[in-house]
Order: sequence, then C-alpha cells, then structure tokens
Amino acid sequence: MWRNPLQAEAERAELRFANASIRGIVTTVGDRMVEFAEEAPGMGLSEAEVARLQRAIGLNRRQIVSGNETTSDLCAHSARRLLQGCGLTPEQCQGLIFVTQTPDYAAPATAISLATRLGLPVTSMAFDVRLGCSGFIYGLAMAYSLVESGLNRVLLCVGDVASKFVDPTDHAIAPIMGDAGSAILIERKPSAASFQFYSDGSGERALIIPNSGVRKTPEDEGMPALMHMDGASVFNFTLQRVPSMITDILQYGAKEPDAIDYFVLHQPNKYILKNIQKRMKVDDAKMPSDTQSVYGNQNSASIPGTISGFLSDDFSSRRLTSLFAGFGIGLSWAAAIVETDHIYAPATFTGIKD
Amino acid sequence: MLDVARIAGEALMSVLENVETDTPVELNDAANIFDAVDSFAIVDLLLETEGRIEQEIGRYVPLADETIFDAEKTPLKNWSTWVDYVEKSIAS
Repeated sequence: MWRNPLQAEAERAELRFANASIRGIVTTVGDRMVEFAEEAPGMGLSEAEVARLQRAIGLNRRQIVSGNETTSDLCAHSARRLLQGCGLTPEQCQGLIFVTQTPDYAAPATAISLATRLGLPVTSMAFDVRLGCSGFIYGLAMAYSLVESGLNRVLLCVGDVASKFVDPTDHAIAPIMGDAGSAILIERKPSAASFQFYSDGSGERALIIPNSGVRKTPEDEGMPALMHMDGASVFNFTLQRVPSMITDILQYGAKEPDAIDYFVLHQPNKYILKNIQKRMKVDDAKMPSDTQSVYGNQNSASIPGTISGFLSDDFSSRRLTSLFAGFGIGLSWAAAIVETDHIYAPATFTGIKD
Repeated sequence: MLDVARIAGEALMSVLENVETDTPVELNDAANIFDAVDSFAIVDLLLETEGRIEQEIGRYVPLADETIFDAEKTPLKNWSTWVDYVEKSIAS
C-alpha cells in the first residue's frame, strides 16, 4: 500500500515529556566473574581464536550468577538499595514495571510478586514487558507516561540472567552474555525528555529462543530452547539502523550533538560501538564502550548498567543531558534524550548482598 | 599516494595467519573473502584494515556498514570491489 511520506512521518511513535525525571539508578550484576580466556578452551577455541575474539568483540570477562538467582532477585536487590539511597519507602511507589526476557515463570507476571517482595502496596500497579536490548528505553517511556498521567513514583526494573538461556559451549553467544538487574526510580519533577521507537518483526529470526513459547514450526523442530543468534544479520541491522536513529532523536529532541554530555548506547560489542562513535563523530569520552568487556552483554540492563559501571560519579554529581539508545532482539530499537540532575547513582553492586 | 591495495592485502594476510580456511585463499582481483572466512574473521579484517589506514593517514576511517555482512551486497565477495570500497571510504 502506498503511504504518503508526510503522513508516515506524523504517525511515528514519538513521545515528549516535561514532568517526569529519573531520581536514581542502581545495578546489581551476577557474583561470578568468568574470564573469557579461561572458558574458551571448553568451547573448542584455540589461543589464536581467543585473541581474535578479544580484539574484535572486546571479550574479556563477564559477571554471571553463580547459583539459582533470577533476574527478579538481582532487580529486587537493586530496588532495595535504590529506595534506601533515595530515602524512600516502598509505599511511596505506585507502580512497578519489570522488563525482562527471563521472568521467574511464563505466568504469572513476575512484576506482581516482585512488587510484593519489595513492599509496594496492593494499591500499586505492576506488569511485565517482554523486551530485550531496547527494553530500558521502552520501560523508561512507560514509566514517564505513568508519572505524567498521575502516579507520583514508578520503579522500573530491567535486566536478564542471560547466562541461563545460552548454550554454555556455544562460542558465538555464550561468552558474550552477562547477568544484571537494574532498578530505576522515576518521579514527577519538571524535566524535558524525548523518545522515539521502532519495531521490525521481519527480523524475528535474527535473535530468537526457538521452542520457548506456544508456537511450533518445522524449522525449529529439535532445536533447544536456547538463544540463537544470526550475528551477521544483527551486525547489519545495527549499522543500518542505529546511526540514523541517533540522528533522528537529536533532531526530534532539538539538540546538537555538542549539547549531549553522554551517548549511552546498548553495549553489544566494542567494535560496533566504536564504528557508530566514529561514524557519528562523537568524542571517545562521550560514548562509553567498556561494559561488554567487564560485565558482558547486560541486555535491557546495559544502559543503566553502563551508567552504574562507568559513569556513576558524573551522574551523581552533575546535571547531564544524555542520549540513550537500545537496539536488538525483535528486532526492536528505541532512543531517548533525557535530562538528569544529581541522581542517586552508586557504582555497580557485584552479587546480592542481603 | 596511498597504496590502498597494498594496505588491504597486508591486512588480509595478517588476519589469515590466524584463521583456518577450507581451501587456501589466493589473493587476486576475483578472490571471494566473504565466503572463505567466518564472520569473526571479517570483523578482524575490518579492524586490521582500519588500524593500518589510521597508521598511514592519521585518522580513523570506519569501514563497516550495513552491506558488509549482506550476502548480496557485500564488497568482500570480490577483492577488487573491496579495494575500491576501501578507497571510497577513505575519500568520503
């Protein structure tokens, strides 16, 4: 069907906010550090291949859970620390959004039990969102929407225990994944924010866990319910979509690149981030890219995880304008320009301490 | 004048030192690198070539775009196309 380009432009999924703001961000990662060089021989990789992957992808080490901890456990730890750090009680939150691909159960929604575990009252709302690497932006926009619509505070919990959905011997994906759960508090406060969203289901098979839901297809027959990645497709998708998304959100947010203090992108691998950074002509210091090398791919927690892991001092002590961009499984991608002002942002917690 | 063919060729040879291929890669204008090596080796080739160009001209030239891993459009299906692609990337 022919579509008028101007009409299509007007129908874009874009949101602006003026009265919602991030109060704090806390991230908890898995307690077990896995060195890539140590696990690589078990994946059948030679020393030369290890060196290649370390150079090309930035693989070095990652943090995963050592036991049966779930994403909601990591998020609960982060949320408790967040509320404590902000001097708030759970009763002061009216909503909880849980963004994950690794819920406690297929049903019921994990957000509801997580809200109860944290002490949110029964008069609060809680729901799950099933998204991966774009999930933080989507969750943040939903939290902003709820706050602008009347709620005082919303807890956004994002993350995955991705180590549980990969074949530990699959060298294409296992050494990439880290486990993390972040909690972000959004509250009503004057602050400007702009969001844009994109979805393309034609790339459904680029990243997929087959046989993990109700649909059964002949091509999935006999495949384990573990994450399968078509790396080449994901690479192409990223380089095709992310630079233009960044250009578009800058335009929509009426910001010049120089006005952005930090470009905090999802952290799939170092090469892709460096490529985007150079193509967009962004200074090295403005676009952190070490999360993959230290924590692994944290999926929906990678943006808050990068703030907790590498930018906590600046986010704690300064007023900042940041551009966030998440992209991946779906295919789904989204970007936001958000202002923060001296938020509670301690350094990453390793393991659950209570 | 920058000898892009030499730089690209040296980068490829450096990468191939650490890559096992089913059949040896012979470097000629028609060489199909895309089908000869895996995706990690292609990323390695991008990195190696970018690094050598940066050393020669003093600035970073990003070589990866959405065509690199596209089986239909990739410039790596043909060595002379790849050299042209690198030259154009440097010029742009």
